[in-house]
Order: sequence, then C-alpha cells, then structure tokens
Amino acid sequence: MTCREVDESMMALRPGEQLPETAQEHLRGCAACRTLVSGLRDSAIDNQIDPAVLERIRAPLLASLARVRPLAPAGVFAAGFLIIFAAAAIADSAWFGHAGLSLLTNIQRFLIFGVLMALAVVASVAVARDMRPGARSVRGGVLLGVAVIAIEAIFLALFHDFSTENFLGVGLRCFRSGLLCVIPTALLVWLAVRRGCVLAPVSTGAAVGAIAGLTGVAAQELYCPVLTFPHVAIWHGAVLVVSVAAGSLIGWIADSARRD
Amino acid sequence: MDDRPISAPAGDSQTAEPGLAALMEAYQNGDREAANQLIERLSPALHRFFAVHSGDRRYADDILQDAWLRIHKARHTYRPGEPLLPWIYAIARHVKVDAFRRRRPELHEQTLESIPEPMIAPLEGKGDLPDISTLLAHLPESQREVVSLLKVSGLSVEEVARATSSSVGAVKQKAHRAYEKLRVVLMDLRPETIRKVGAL
Repeated sequence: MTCREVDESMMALRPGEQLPETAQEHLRGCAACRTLVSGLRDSAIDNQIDPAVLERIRAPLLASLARVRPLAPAGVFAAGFLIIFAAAAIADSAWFGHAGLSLLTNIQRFLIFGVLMALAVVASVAVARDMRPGARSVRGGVLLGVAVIAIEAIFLALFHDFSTENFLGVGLRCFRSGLLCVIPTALLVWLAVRRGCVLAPVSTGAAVGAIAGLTGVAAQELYCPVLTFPHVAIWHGAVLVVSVAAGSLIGWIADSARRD
Repeated sequence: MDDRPISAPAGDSQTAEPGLAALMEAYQNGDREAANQLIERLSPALHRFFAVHSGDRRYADDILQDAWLRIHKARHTYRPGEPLLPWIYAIARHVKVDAFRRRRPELHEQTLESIPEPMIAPLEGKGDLPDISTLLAHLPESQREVVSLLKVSGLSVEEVARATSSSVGAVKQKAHRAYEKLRVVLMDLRPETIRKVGAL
C-alpha cells in the first residue's frame, strides 16, 4: 500500500472505525503516515459545550417553533421556471411582434431556440438547486460564461452579414426592448425563489438573471428583424450579460443587508 | 510498538445515526422534543467544526448559536428523505464565513491596540501532538475545511462534497493535498514527537 492509498483509507474511515490491516501494515514502516494518522487521531478536540450555551440556543428556537411546509422538489421548481421562460417569451412576441422569426430559416430557428431552451434548462436547474443547502449547483459565474459562449458561438455560426449600419441607434432600441422583456420574468422567478434563497443570494441572483436574460434574448430573436452579426452579438448578447450582472448585484445587496 | 489499531476519531458517530433525518422531519412538524434532541446531538460536532476554524472555544459558542438560528429559519428547505448532514454543514460553513467576516475588523482593531491579554482560549491538544486547530492552521482554507469536515465532524467524502457544493473528486484531491502538507508539517514541527510516535 502507498501513502496515497493510506490517504484514501483515511478518507473512507467513519467515526470509530479502524484502518484496514493493509494500511496498518504500511504505517509500521512509514513514519510520515504514522505521524499523520496519530496526529489526526490524538489531537482531537476535547470540547464540552457549556449547558448555558445550549439553553441559549434552545430558548429562541422553541419559542418560535411552528410547523413548516418543506419546499417542493427541485424538479417542480425547475419545471415552473421553464414554464415562466416559455410563457414570457411567447407573451413578449405577442406584444412586440415576430418579425425576426419570419426572417429566420428553419435551421436557424431550430439551433437558436434549441440553444436558448437548453441554457434555460441549465439555469432553471441551477436556481432550483440553489434553493436547497447541501445540493450541488452550478455557480452563477460559470453559468454566465457557458451561456454567453454558447449564444455568441451560435450567432457566429449562423449570421454572416458583418455590416454595422445604424448599429448604435437600432441596437439601443433593440437592447431596451429586450430589457423590458426581462423584468416580468425576473419578478415571476424571484417570487417563486424567495422562500428558498437562504445561502447564496449572489449565485441565485445570477441564475435568476440568466433565466430572465434568456427570455429577453428569446424575445429579441422573435421580434428583431436585424440579422447582422455585430447587432445580434452585441445587443442581444448584452441583454443576457446585463441581466446576470443585475441579478448578481441585487443578490449581493440582499446578502449584505442580511449580514448587517 | 503500540498495538493500538489506528482508528478514526470517535466523534459523535452522527453520520451513523439514521434517526437524525426522522428527528429533522419531526422538527419541521413543530415537535419540541425532536428540536431538543437535534440540538443535543448535532451541537457537539458543529461546535468542534467552528472551534477548529476559529481556534477559540468561546467564539465557537457564539457561532454555534448563529448557526442554529440560521438552521431554524431555513428548516423548510430541508427535503425529507435527503441526507441531513450535508444540509446542516452547508448552512454551518456559510454562518462560519459570515462570522469571520464580521470578526475581521474587530480582530484588526484589537491587534492595533495590542490587547494586554490573549483573547483566545486555546484549544488543548492531547499528548505531545499539537491541537488540531494549530495543525490545520498550516493549510489553506479550502483544504482546512475539507479535513475538518472529514476528521472533526466525521462526514463521509460524499457528504463533504454535497456540503461544499463540489464534486467527490475535488474533495479527495483537497484531502490528499492537505494530508501531504500535514505529513511535512508534523515531521518538521516536532521531531521528538515523531520519535515517540515512531516508538509506539
């Protein structure tokens, strides 16, 4: 057995259990491992909690003890967020029209909305998991990175007109409309999330911003008739980036307020 | 050589107690006795976890109280049937971080005023070995957290991965690196101790 295998055995050891015989055999010939194992075994803290401390913990807890309803499973929340995403995008297209959709080819529609839907699934699952401490989740920054790269890559692959006519004026109007589509989605998702967002408000805010931002991008793809790469890459992509940044900022403010 | 078999720290064997999840469910239903029992059974390991990171038993008392208040407020987020300890320690590590952030300016001020008496009640080690708080102080925070969850709180690798929102592989990697560093530290720290351990 090697030192690394001794490490593995130590990691697998549960309280009160003994190292396997092969590991014990290794320890007899390896001073470093022997010292490490003894160090972690014999230096355990002998701590007794003052009964008064336990009483101070009990008093407020028992005074406010009431039945609580556990959160629904993460899958239910994730499905709910996806429904909000789809419903908001459809409502936005009803409001702003779908001039953009009619200009896209079937392959472009399939790829763009397929990628947006896949990203919305990832963001929805991330938010749903963030609501529950101790559940593995995707970090907000990672989510933003993946989403931006995926969207920009698909735009680069599909739009080959690089002209920049009316880039700023048209772009700002498109960007503003995209952000207007983001707000209702963000509010609806936040209403669903607020009961469970207890540990990582920044990460949750980023993921909520991602779902809302993706709704904005989907709405832009539906209504925006400008199919040049600079326009979609900057002004459509910016809606997602700004939404995630705003969600993170709101989460950070909420977290700071809670700490104070 | 000592014939004592090498075993894990006794801890509270909390992970081997499936009854904790049932107690948590009863606690969610407003059962006072279940709340009492959870506090009794989980507090010692939580206190050790905080004490190892702060090196101060009294300060660990305060963090423990904060942690239980957070656990109480967040108890609806525990899903019956899921592992309890990762949920508890995910909250505990956030409380720990919040507490240390609050404490940092306070410690800075006290350092500037050069306080006459040490405010830290040191944790006592056993025998010739340094206490675990001193030992783990040689590690970066992420490795210290993993080793303390594994060896002080008695969580399994899978439970640590869930509590820290990382993968099993990442937890093992951190533990390996921590153990390698601790071997070096222990060998350098107390040559006489090594000789004694060697003579066991």
